[in-house]
Amino acid sequence: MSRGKTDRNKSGPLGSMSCLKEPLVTKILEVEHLVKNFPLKDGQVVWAISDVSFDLSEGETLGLVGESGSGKTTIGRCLLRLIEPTSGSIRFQGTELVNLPKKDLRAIRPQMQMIFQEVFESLNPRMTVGDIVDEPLKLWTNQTKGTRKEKIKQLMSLVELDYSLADLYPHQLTGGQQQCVGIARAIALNPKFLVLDEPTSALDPTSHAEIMDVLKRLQEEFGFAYLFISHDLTAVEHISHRVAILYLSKLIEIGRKDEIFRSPQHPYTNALLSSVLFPDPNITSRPFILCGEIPSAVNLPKGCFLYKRCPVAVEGICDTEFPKPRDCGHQHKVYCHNLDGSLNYFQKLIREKVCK
Amino acid sequence: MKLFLSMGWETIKKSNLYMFGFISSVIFLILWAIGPYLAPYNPLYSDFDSFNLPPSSQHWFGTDQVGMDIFSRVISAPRIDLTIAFLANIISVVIGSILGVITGYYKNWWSEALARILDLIQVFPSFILAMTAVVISGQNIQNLIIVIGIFNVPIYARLVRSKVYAVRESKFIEAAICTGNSDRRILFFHILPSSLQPAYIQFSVVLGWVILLVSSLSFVGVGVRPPTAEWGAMISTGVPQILIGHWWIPIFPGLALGLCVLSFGIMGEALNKIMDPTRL
Amino acid sequence: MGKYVLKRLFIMVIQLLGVVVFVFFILRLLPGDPAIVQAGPFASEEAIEITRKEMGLDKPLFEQFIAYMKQLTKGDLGESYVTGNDVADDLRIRFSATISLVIIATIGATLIAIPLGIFQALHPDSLFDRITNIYGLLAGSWPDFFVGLILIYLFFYLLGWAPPPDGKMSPLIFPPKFITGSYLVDGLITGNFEAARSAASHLVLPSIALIISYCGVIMKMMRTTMIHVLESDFIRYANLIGLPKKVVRNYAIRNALSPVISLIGIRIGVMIGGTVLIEQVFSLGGLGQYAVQSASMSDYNALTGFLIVACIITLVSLLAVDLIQASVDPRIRY
Ligand SMILES: Nc1ncnc2c1ncn2[C@@H]1O[C@H](COP(=O)(O)OP(=O)(O)OP(=O)(O)O)[C@@H](O)[C@H]1O
Ligand code: SF4
Ligand SMILES: [Mg+2]
Repeated sequence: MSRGKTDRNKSGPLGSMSCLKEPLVTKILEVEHLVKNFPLKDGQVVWAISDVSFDLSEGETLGLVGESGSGKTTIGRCLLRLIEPTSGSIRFQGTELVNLPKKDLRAIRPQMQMIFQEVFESLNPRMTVGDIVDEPLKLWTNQTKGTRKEKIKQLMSLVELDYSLADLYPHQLTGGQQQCVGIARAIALNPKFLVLDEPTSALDPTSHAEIMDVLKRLQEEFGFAYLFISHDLTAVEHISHRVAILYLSKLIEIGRKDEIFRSPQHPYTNALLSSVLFPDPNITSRPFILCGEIPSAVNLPKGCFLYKRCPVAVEGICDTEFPKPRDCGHQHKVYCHNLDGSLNYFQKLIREKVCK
Repeated sequence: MKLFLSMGWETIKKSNLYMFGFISSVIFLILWAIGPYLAPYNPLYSDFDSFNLPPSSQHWFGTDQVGMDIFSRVISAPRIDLTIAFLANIISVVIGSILGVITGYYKNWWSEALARILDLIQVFPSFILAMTAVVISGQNIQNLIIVIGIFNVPIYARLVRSKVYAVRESKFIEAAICTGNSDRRILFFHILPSSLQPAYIQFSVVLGWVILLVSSLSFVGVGVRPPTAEWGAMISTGVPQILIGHWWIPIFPGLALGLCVLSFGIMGEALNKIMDPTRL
Repeated sequence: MGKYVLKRLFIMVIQLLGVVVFVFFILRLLPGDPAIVQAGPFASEEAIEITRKEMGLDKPLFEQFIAYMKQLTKGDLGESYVTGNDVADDLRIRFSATISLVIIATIGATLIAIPLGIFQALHPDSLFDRITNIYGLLAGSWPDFFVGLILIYLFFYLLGWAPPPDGKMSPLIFPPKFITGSYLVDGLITGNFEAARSAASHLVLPSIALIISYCGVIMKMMRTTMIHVLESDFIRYANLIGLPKKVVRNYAIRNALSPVISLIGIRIGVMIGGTVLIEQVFSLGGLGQYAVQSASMSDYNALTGFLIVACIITLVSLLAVDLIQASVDPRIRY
């Protein structure tokens, strides 16, 4: 119960500085018109990301929400150039990453890290926990074995792992411990920016909460910027400062957390939120569910991808052109042609529900 | 390593079959080392006073048509059979692993072509290829080893290649890139060790096949020549004999040969079980 | 389907070219001198030199290759110095004896092994499963020629049911006119039933030996694939939605069949090699026996000719297996 309150306190100052102090916040990452498609054998292409733009400030968490297959992981991998984006621009601390030569890219790697969705698969089964955490130190520092050992101890205690686990292999750990190893490895070189790809989705509820706490504490202590990928809205609400909603490879709404959760604009965001129960009483649940199926990512429809499922779609506009971003103030951007219609429709729904 | 050995022993202990394979493999390895010294008779000495004798307390497995003691010859044969098989298999494993890693790691036309050629060779009758090649390169033990070694390269190359394919796409390689490993370190430190495992797990099984191949070649007179004590050659001298009922001449070497192949096959399966990551 | 066959044929032609090139280079690059082999063990230095010239081995490698290809396109495999005949003719006469054995053994082993494997998978850990498993373990370990020998001892020497391993048919019977080269088929065509019967009885033991040897592997593969398929999600789903057991089983069999058939394709080379050895034991007078004889006499032309033919047989069998697989497997797109 009290969580909602502390949350608001934390996001409060950041929210209030939005107009006045904005120039003081350093942007760490700026993504513009990012596109990634995978060509298939038969000549067709899978659109995994189409034209996504957002940015991230130092020490900030951006929650990235979307259904399975909406391209969340692909965005994370593109940002770190683990796969090559098809087009667009990714500036990390002012350096353009797209087309950056391999050598320079490698030099930047320590500053941006990733926590993987497939926890266990991301750890080399033939390396011990100690070796895994040691690898970045070994590669990037000239420290002696002794100093590195101290550092490993320190890192492991940071993620609440007992040092006695250092000689074990990943398969001998629990899922939560494995994820902690992944986190320890990622923060070993004190990066600026971390992609957290559903860091808790493979875990049981207890380790789930533990990992979330560890992540939050680390951010407070070291000021990491997080791209927090998840389809768990409560977790996103818990950790993020801002939230971006993804639908079928497209960004459809992005804004401060409280904006998104309290006054969602896009029909799809409304639908998403209606499916979750929040502990925070200020977030009214919306009695609304989308019908129909998500179109295939191979043959994307013309116009808005939600057209066939949208209750407020406007014929002739929505099915011909993808909407341009609409600014609703406070950095809140929505990609929809019929915002007023959407607003009316959902307010009416809520009123009906409350009356009942 | 200690952990691995104790775990291996646990696995073997639990199954009668593995236990049997293990003991019998060890016996064949001992025979390989000191077989000729254990033999009651000189395996090459033909006693013209006692040929074609059926099994008795004097000659446990009987004597052959030139009066050589079959028991002595059967337990001396691992010396030559296993030596050839081991050396040939080592050639295959080394070259096969290298080619497997190369064709698995590089995605360009020549590595693709190399992979196709290797696949094609594997489809061909290896026995016939080996027979032809041995005859043409000159029949001696050294050529036998080289030829068998070369023609079994595709077995390992294929195993390693498909493993490299799987490993290079795995998430921990992506994580290693993220950590900032160089390409070279990724190949040699992260991909290679995981990819070679299927090759050396399969070593024991292929060893059995190679022993079969060696004795088949000797059986048609292309491998080891009589009177050297070798299972295939001994079976071959027994072919006319069995028509007149002297069954012991080919049967005993044949049984030993099959038992040896079987044991190494079982050991291979046990190794597979022991190394299986899902069991860890 | 027609398009797939064409594509597969095209691939085979390329493979064939690959084989020819491969055989040429492997023979030239191996240590050892073909001229010494061809000239025979007692040849003098000059004789070897002359043979080398005759074989064109003194010319540059590329020129040799061109000459060799030219010869091949004419179907000319050179002359056997042992029989003095054209190698191509020698092979043609012996071809059908070998092929009939390969076909009988492959089809026999497949037809027996697949039902056994399916039955095993449907009743895992039953007594039948355990017995057949032991058989599978044993079958792969003993060479087929040894199995053949044991059969001879049992059925010819002890029981007297089988004819002696003295050739394609009893030497006392007048052989039928040469049509296909297989005494069994020729005997039936020409109405020489005595010959046909004798030829058939001479084929029984070698076929059984090969079948015993190869059933094991196929059965084992069928069992594991089938168990794997039975545990797969879509079979679970089919069971869940209540499809009749028989329908589900057929469904599973259809899906398990395809990898097994491709295994048979890969093993076909091994079977052809095994046939060579079996022919030797039973003196069946086919390609295999010819090859062994050429090998022991170091007959260079005969041996390389045989090698090429054996590779072609393998490729054609592979094509056949692929086509069968395509017609069985619903997933293969043409
Ligand atoms: N290597 C690839 N080749 C082809 N298509 C791919 C590849 N990687 C991803 N895709 C496709 O891109 C789309 C987005 O995938 P992505 O993994 O980014 O989704 P996600 O949002 O992370 O989903 P999840 O919540 O299941 O992790 C999917 O349709 C997927 O099939
Ligand atoms: S653009 Fe049109 S179809 Fe898309 S969400 Fe808005 S109203 Fe609905
Ligand atoms: Mg994902």
